[in-house]
Amino acid sequence: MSELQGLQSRITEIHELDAEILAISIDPPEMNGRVAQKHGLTFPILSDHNREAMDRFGLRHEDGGMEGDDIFRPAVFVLDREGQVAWRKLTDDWRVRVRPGEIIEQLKLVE
Amino acid sequence: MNRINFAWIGPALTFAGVVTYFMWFARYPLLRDFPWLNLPLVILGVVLSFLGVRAVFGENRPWSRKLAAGAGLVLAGALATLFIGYVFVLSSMLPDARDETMTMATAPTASLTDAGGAVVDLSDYRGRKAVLVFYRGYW
Repeated sequence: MSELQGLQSRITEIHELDAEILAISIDPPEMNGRVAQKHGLTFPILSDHNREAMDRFGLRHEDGGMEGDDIFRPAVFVLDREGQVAWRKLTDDWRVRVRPGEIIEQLKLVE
Repeated sequence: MNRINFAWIGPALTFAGVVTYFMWFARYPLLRDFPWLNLPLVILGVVLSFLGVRAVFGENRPWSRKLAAGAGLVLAGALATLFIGYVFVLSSMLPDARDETMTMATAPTASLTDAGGAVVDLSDYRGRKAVLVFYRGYW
């Protein structure tokens, strides 16, 4: 969860750049609500329970898991005001996630 | 006499090194991205386990002590192997990113449900910049 907590700790800067954080998980809405409350998150956590967004962003890898199951790649997309992808970072190591500072630097580059 | 304690301290240190990594790594990116703290702990634990075994076998100790020290070394070695295997091999075994993800210009839209149960569309947020964070549980 610290990926989200890290972003929450910089939320003022992010809002000053006229940006919103949208966290997307495959967990049900109730669980997302509990997570948001527990960690004091003020940005939305959206539930992608039917994997629609994951599929459209190409983050599902069929048979990618150890046991031939589908796996979903963690990723961050920065969109400009028109919904164009300005920057993306796709996880290639489960342990390593994007740091908030990197996202803020990218947001500054977006018009 | 002190060196014999290594037979206990060694495996305990390795165990602590592995466990604290998974308790800490989510919180401190510096210690997570490369286990600067935990890798030395884990390796030191194995070295101490080995020294402990050597000490026990060097002295005239009952077989039960030798067996316990040997088991400790095996355990520490196995834990260290699993840890190093996970950190340096397993955790980066992800398929290559898909081409369409890499070349996507306009972000797709999708219907999602917010924590209150309301259905929202990603396009609802246009007009401001947006950071979409697709994250996986726990951290």
